[in-house]
Amino acid sequence: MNGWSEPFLAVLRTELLGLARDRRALFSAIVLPVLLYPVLFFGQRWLERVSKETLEAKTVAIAVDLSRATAGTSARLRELLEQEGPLQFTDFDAEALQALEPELAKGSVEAYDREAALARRAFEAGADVLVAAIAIDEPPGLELRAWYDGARDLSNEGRQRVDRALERLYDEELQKRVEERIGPDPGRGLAPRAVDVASAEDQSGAALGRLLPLIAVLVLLSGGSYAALSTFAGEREGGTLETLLVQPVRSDVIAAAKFAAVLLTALATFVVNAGSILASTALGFGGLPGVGGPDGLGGLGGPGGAGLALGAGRLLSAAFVFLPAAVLLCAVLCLVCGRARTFREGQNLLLPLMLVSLVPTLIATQQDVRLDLLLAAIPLAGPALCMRDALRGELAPGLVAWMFAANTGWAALALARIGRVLDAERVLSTAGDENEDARRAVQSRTALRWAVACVFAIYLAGGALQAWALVPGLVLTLAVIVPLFAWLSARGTARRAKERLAATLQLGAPRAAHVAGAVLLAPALYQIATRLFAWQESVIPLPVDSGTETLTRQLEGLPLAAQLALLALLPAFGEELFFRGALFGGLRRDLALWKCALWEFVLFGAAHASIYRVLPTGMLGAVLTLLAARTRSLWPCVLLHATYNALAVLAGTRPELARPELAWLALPGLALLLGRPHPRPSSP
Amino acid sequence: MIPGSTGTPLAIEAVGLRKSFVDPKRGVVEAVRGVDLDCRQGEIYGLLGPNGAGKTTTLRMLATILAPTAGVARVAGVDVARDPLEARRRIGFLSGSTGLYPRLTPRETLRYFGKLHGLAREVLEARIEELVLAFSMREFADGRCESLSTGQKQKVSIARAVLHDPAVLILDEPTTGLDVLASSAMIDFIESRRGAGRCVLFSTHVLSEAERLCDRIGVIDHGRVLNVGTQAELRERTGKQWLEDVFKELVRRANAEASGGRA
Repeated sequence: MNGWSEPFLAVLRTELLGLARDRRALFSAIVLPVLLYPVLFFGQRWLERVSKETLEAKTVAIAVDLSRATAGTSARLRELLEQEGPLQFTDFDAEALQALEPELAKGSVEAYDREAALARRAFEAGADVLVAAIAIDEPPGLELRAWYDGARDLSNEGRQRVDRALERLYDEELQKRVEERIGPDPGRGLAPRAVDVASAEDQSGAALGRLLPLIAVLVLLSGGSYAALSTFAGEREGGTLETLLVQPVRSDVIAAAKFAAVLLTALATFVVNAGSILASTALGFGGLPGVGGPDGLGGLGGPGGAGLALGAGRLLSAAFVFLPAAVLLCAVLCLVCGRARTFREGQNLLLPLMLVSLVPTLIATQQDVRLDLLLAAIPLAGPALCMRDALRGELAPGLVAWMFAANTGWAALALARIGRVLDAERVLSTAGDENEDARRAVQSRTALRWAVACVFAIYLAGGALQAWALVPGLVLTLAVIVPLFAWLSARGTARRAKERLAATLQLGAPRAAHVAGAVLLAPALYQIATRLFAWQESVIPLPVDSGTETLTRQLEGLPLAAQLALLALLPAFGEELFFRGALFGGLRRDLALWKCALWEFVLFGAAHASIYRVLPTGMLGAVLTLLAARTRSLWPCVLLHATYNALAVLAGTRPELARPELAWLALPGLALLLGRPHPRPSSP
Repeated sequence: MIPGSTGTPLAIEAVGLRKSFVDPKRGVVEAVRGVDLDCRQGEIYGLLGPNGAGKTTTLRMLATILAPTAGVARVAGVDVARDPLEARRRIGFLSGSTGLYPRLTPRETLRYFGKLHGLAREVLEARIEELVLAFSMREFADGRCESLSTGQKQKVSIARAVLHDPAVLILDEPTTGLDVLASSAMIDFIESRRGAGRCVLFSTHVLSEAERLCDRIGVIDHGRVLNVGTQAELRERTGKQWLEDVFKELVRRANAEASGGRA
């Protein structure tokens, strides 16, 4: 028997060889970035410079009438204007404009139109800007005015030069008068002098830290997804997988080697991209778009715009803290592509994944977000923030260690499943036949119809019963009507699927870990629901709800145990029996899991008869559906539902139960739920 | 169970082989419901049945790709469930839908699979040369597989399947998708294995192939082997002349039995 290392290396080498020979992959991963960034930066800088220079070099025609100003002012203004750039002065008579002044001062619209018409006539005669001194009454004196045409570049340029010249003239006049009246400026010692204590490295690091995490995720995704599609989906599409799986090598070793190939490709893509960005900055081609400092270029470079101010230490530590994210991303890419039968199917599956992974990363590009314990544990967000902080030179060792531990944990969870990606039992299942497919579609549709009927029954019968007598009505609805619907609906599904009713409703015993995991999710779900509720309220303000809140109030007189039984246990059992038992039992025959969850979201939200709580209850419905799919048992759903409702009931009197910190329990909960898959039920 | 006249272990031996899938949508699907097989060395055994009869699943279980739900299977004396890796060393597997890695050359393909089989470098290189010669692949052995013709690809696939000189060759509908010439080359190849004293188990729904090649035929439908025998034996048992009619007769009898049993 060989060890695992020889076949591992053989698979890894072959995969890398195949990828390296794929011209498209090679081009998009290596060649494109090497060329792209320098060209992009250089082009951007060149364009900026060209457009700026051409305007500055142009001669602007300025028509002036400074006859009302003093000779000194007039001469000085002309001098200052000439310093701003090439000019051509013409004289014009502003008498017509002066004549309009009294009307303009009164705010007459007609006068404004006539003023614009007069100015336009001057522009048509060849002027770009008009400048005139106009005598005004209030306060009595002179005003220097400029007219320009905002739609023309040259006129705008002329106006900017006039503005600058006028500003300087104003400053000079002010200075002169202050000195005439009170001598040299007494406030001179108070003048601020700004000194930037950030080193060139800090500035570069902050600029790069804003963008590199996002670029890293994008680049890892693009490089990794191509490799993952090619090594996993491509193997199935090309018909080579079956052959590979009959070789005397364990399938988890093959999967691990393929993952290694994907990771190496993604990392290589990242290194090439980051290297290209840094190199083109260091060589003075320009900086990242939007990063540029006050000089327009120098974000990354040191003072002067060229050269790289960032030390290797910061760059390496930034890359290092992002490793867990890279491993996680690649592992998830492999898991997703392992499910795809074809390239195209894989691409469809990857798109939502890419969008989802950008969300936590975008957090890190927000300026004011600070790394804390919670953010550090969130996949991608934690590493992205650490990467940003590493570039800024502000890494907090404790938080980094925690980020590493948490994110290595996420990556390990994903990696643990990679071994099963190429599990032949899953991958090579037999093709279905059409009759079978049609039968399954009928099962799903029937379950859906029953669900709509059940929701209406809850509205009508339940509402009437509860209006007649609250407590008996509640009990009748949840303990009789809803379970009756569940039984009727599930019986039909079970008959068509030729299975026992208990199997359709998933009444089998759950794993202890799943039960514990489900209960631990409750506080987090409660927190999310409260937040969703608050958010929804801020978006669609609605009158005060008459639903559960009043219900709780009406039942307040009862002993706590009775309240819990009526509002937590009973609904948990009744509703789960219908929604996650009968409805999901039918839906899952034909629909993908996410479609099942979507229907459950809609119907479970609708069943709670209040637009107001659609989001929180719908969310709960979808989560419970995923839980039912994961645990293959109804009981964890019943328990989670009961715990969640109990929290809502108790939150009023026992605020310590509603503390946000309790949401942390979801982490071990999720680990328990995702840790080991449910063993395959052995068939008869 | 079969008279051990030769004293050597059976090439393939399966008893009560069953396979059911758990499909999340469809529930439990029984693809194979109790298959018994015995193939001797130097024998060509054909598994004949319509699409969906369970041929592919049976072969995949024997090739250790899928684990049997119940029953025992041994290939060259090795239990496929207990020691799948060791069993795989004795099996060459090829299916009609097999592809090749488009960006590897035939020589690289053979080298890759040789390494996966753990063949030593010198042994492997010598074997590759031998196969390149035997299947006259010299002129295209160093071009990428994506540029090969169907016939050339088929040669590479066959060479890949017999690279480690397996005692047992399992072929799943090997002529599917091949033109007349390539099919006939495949049939010649299968016959050559018999001459070398190796066992070939292959599935097909093409009756003429089975008629021409097989020492014995197992007729399979709905996951069960309906009857096994030489062609002469099958004709005698059913009283039909053509294999097509033999097949129909066996299916008819099985259906009658099933409904009779239920009544």
